[in-house]
Amino acid sequence: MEQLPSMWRTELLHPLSVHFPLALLFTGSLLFLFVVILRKNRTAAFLRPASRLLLWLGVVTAWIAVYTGNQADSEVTRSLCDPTVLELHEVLAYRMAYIFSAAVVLESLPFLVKIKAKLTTALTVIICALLIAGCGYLTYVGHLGASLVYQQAAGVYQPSDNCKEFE
Amino acid sequence: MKKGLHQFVYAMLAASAFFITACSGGTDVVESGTYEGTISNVEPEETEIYVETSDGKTLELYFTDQTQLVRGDSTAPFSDLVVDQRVRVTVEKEGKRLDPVKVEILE
Repeated sequence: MEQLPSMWRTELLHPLSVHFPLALLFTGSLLFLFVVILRKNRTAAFLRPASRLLLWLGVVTAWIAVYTGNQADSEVTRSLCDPTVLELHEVLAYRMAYIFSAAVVLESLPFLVKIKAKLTTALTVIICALLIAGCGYLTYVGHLGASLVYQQAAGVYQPSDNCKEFE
Repeated sequence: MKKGLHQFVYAMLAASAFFITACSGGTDVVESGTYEGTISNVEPEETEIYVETSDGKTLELYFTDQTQLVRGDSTAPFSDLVVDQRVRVTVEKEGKRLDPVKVEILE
């Protein structure tokens, strides 16, 4: 009789880890954009450190998701009918992680070095651009990941016809 | 707030341009057949190679138990494959997956 596979198999660590960067990076980016738009509003001052914390946590968890994704890749790729989707998912995930990493480093730059007022404006625009582009990548990477699971059953166990392994 | 909005709009435009132009990558799919090209990447842990064909396509090939790897008339180990090596690959298209049937090292 077929055994029900473990829920702790390597390819399942990826879905366990991907939702953290999704939530943290979207929320962190949104808060940063609010800070830029509401720059004169003192009541919104707490948003800046909040967004910084979320973005840093998001970047760390994004790299963890990339790592677990590489582990899952080895397990599932030979069973896919269209591995080009997996390849694109991987390539764009790396780009997304690099973009957000660059954004958080630039965002933390004023704490490390003194930056002139004119440069601060340019830096803010660059950080916003990176965060918006990063969110675009994050959405598309997530969509490709969902397509791998829901269209190609990547990492999904298919129960037997009589469900004997559940008894 | 007006200045903040301007910054947001500039950032939005830059991000859109960047996203639209850079959101590509990945590999190509070809029909079943034999192709010549150059190895652009080797992943020994995955027994996987990437082959750039002469018409600019990138083929991602995961070796299977049935894949034959040969150099001349004799069988070669996977460790013989290196980047920039010329190869002739015979692939079978299953869905959009390319299963390498035979890989010949040409140099």
